[in-house]
Amino acid sequence: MVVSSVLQKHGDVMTETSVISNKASIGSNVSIGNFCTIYDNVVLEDGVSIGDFCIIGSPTNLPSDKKTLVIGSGSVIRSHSCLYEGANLGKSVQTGHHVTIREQSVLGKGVSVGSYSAIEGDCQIGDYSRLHGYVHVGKGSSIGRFVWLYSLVTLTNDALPPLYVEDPVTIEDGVVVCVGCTIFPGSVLRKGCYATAGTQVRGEVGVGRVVAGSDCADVGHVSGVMHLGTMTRLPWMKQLKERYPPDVHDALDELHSDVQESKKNRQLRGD
Amino acid sequence: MENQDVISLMQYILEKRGGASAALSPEVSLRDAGFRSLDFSELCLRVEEKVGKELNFEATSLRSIQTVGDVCAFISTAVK
Repeated sequence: MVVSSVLQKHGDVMTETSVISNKASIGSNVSIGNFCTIYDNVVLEDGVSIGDFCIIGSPTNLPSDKKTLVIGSGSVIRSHSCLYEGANLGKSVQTGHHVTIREQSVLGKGVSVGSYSAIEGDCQIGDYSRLHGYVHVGKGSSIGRFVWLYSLVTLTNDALPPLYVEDPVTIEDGVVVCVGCTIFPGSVLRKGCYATAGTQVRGEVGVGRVVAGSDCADVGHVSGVMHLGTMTRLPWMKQLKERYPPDVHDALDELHSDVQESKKNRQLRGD
Repeated sequence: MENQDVISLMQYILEKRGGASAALSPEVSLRDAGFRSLDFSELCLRVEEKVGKELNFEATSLRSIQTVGDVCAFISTAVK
């Protein structure tokens, strides 16, 4: 169904199966699936697509001036997702199915969130970061631009559960966190570093460093990591640059340079 | 850098991470040796430290590295 703003003028819009608050602001060419609820304080910019069974603008106890949920133009929210009021999604954000995004989280342009992922409140996610399926982002996490979080990655935030000693994770630009990593409270992952599959990340991981294992051992620099069967080599920024819009190519080049420059900071496991 | 030096470094890296098996020789496949891409990364850094300059990854014409001998060939080209 395409909802035109004209329909909004006469009270809540109830389609055959969805309820749309008349206080919601709906742009042009917005598409809303079946069995959705669009609450007050929602702004759907032009071209947004909402899949079936979505809850958009789920109420919170935030103060009224912080309640607006904005979904940027061209974004796609796939079925069974729940977005709380007070969140802000940039342009062309994509979610998979069954995604939860809680209040006051801010997602930049072109961010992608995989199915069954949950982003708790007060998180920041920079432009063009990609979260695959089943990623859990703890409250207050800060994630930079061009970050890759693969499936089953968990960003924790409580240094002493269940007492909630808040100590969220910081991930800088261009970081890659491979499948199944747990990132412990207060960890800081510097620019372009790389956590191999299953790493239990803790403390600070330096720019461009590679860490592995349950002891988060420093095993080298990304520039030395190569797939031996194909000779494909890290860092990834130059090889994947063309997949990003031209206006961020300079940022990717700069990131690549910073990571290469960091190669001078050597420290090897066991030395 | 001699091939034997490279093999010794590979052995050292494997032992350090608890993955050492039988003695390495050029025909042994990396899969059998348990030598992984991350070990290769560490090897490169150790070689660079030893020779005091960066390896030139672009110098090699190898399309794939499968055996200990391939690693030696790669390093010997990349170190020039």
